[in-house]
Amino acid sequence: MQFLEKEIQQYTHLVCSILLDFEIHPLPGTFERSSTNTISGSVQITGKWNGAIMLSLPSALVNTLTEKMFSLEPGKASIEDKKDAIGEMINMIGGNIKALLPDPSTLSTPLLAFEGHSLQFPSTKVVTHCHFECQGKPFAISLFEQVEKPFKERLKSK
Amino acid sequence: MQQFETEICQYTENIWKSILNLDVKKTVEEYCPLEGEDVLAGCVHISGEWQGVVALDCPQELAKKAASIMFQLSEDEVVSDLVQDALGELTNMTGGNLKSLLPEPCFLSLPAVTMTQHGLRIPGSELLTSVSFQCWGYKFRVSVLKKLEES
Repeated sequence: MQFLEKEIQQYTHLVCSILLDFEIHPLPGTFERSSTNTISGSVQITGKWNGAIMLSLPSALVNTLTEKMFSLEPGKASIEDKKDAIGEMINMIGGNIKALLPDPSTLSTPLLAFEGHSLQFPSTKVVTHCHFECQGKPFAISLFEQVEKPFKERLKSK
Repeated sequence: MQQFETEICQYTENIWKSILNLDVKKTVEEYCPLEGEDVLAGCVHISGEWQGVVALDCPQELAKKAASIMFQLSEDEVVSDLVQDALGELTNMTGGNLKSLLPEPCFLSLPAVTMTQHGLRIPGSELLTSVSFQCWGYKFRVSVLKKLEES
């Protein structure tokens, strides 16, 4: 099993259930990122443990989650609403995961990327990737951990 | 003058000169990416006694040139991972320098980088300062955003 995989599944299920009253189910394999359709939200953890937690979803699911969270009519979610919804979700999931990591560590504010360009975290490696289904659509939570090799050493090795 | 504007100019000029041997100058013309233009956006979070983000937005072409200089490769040899590494490092250094001006203790996150046409979005924060620069015929921008106080 991947690092904190079970806990990530539990917390993601909990957040979706409490915040949205939505059920989620684990899916095998990896989330297929679309160049035009994927929205990413992340929080970073800094301190005794350094890395990032990223939530990746298709835009249709972002609309569904946002409308549910803010009780909006279909098609009425603004960009600001979506920012707030995804930001809140990743903040809650990230906050729960941070509690499992070595202390002391701080949680950053959420960071979002729209238009399908995925967030990248140089100097990290993916240690966990969890794939889910919600309301008939896939999404994923990925955990990135800082690699040990400092930038200057990577510079010399190129 | 905007908060930290003088320091942003000083640090940015120093970093680009010392790391890349490139002269950059603040420009009064704001960096406004064209519709559909791909912008490479890097950011680091600062958390602790002060909370916010330092962001560096630049055209993909300029980021590619920076990566080719940084890793001593031709532009054809520079792959996207290296471009992201280069922008991440420039953002990291800029953020690290600015962090020293902020109330202690503060902690700097790892850099995050993305290709975007609309910029990274940071809910719950407000733009404090934005400074545009000119380099090698391109413009780029360094911004500082502060987390809004929770009501």
